[in-house]
Amino acid sequence: MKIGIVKLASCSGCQIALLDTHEKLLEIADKVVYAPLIKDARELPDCDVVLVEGAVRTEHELEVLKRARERAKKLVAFGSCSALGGISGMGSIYKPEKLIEDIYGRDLDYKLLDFAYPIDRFVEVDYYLPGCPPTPELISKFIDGILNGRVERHDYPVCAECGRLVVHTKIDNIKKTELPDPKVCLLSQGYVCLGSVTRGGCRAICTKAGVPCRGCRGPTDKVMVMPCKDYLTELHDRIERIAGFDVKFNDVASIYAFVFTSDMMDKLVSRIKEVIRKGRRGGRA
Amino acid sequence: MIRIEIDEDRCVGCLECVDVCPTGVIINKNNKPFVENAERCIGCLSCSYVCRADAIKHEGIHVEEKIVKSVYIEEKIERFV
Ligand code: SF4
Ligand code: SF4
Ligand code: SF4
Ligand code: SF4
Ligand code: SF4
Repeated sequence: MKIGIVKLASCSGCQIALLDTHEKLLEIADKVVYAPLIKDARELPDCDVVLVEGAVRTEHELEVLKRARERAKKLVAFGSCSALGGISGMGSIYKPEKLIEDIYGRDLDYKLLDFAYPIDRFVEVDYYLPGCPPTPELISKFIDGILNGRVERHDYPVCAECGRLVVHTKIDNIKKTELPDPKVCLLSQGYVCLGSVTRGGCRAICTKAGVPCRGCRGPTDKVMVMPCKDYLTELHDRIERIAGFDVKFNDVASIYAFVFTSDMMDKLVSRIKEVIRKGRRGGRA
Repeated sequence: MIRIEIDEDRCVGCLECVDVCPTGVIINKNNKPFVENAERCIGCLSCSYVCRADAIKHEGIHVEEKIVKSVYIEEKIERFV
């Protein structure tokens, strides 16, 4: 088994999470033939599995991705940037010219694509392992799955692992700063928690630590397949039912932060890409 | 015969399934959902649809899950781990 790791537009956090798997890393260390962060091989050879970290933002990255696809028997979208656009995708709320002007202040000798896209826009993907980053436990389980040919899916939402209980309340505003009650569902307490629309498997590490889920693992199966299920409508509906208040989200982009350049959200009801494209900020990036 | 099972470990106790069931199959028992009249279930799957924890499983339903699936998404979805 030969494993390669390729990096596109990313923060390297997913590779660091792979390093955090400790024993699992030792187990596969001799199988890793190419990985910019941990090996100094120059060229990606033919591999059984290639993990691609990061979104596609430049034409160069697109070439790297295509080469990786050619050399990989199985191509894995490793982390949310690669699987769904993720943090890198968030840059797409600014126009490319504006990003270049504000960050570099000069012309670049390569071109930015219109959006930072997840890799499945350009190549066939065999597995998606979303998470920002995926937890070391998820990565270990996935590697085991790859090695023995049985990859386990997580088709349930974060709520299923959260352990907090819903209490029906009556509140009148979204909360952001106060310390939440440790046993009660964060939505009941007025925090915008994306747990109910987000794929589980992370063991709800954020909500267990008292922080609302930001949706880093992307949409659940249900949100993906049901045209009438969408982040905004689902959250709105739940907050209205359990906390009795009609929430007006004024920062829609932050709710879709991890997913809005992904085709998986292009359903009848989700017009997020269109909305963002229209309202793209020309202001300082 | 329809069998309905609610996974207690997953359930967060929102009771949305109780509110939504048109035939009173799932009832509120000490603030937990409880399957009381399974034989009344009409298989609408509303409860499973609203369940945020994916905690409700039905077996023996005679109709396919009534959800609209996009072929494009359906192809990819199985690959999300
Ligand atoms: S998914 Fe998150 S951790 Fe991984 S490369 Fe992207 S931003 Fe970094
Ligand atoms: S909405 Fe958030 S806090 Fe509430 S049960 Fe789900 S994951 Fe936990
Ligand atoms: S709780 Fe949400 S934001 Fe936190 S790791 Fe899990 S999916 Fe990501
Ligand atoms: S809808 Fe799901 S989480 Fe809510 S009470 Fe019913 S089974 Fe439990
Ligand atoms: S499928 Fe419909 S009728 Fe059956 S228990 Fe669920 S809500 Fe009630």
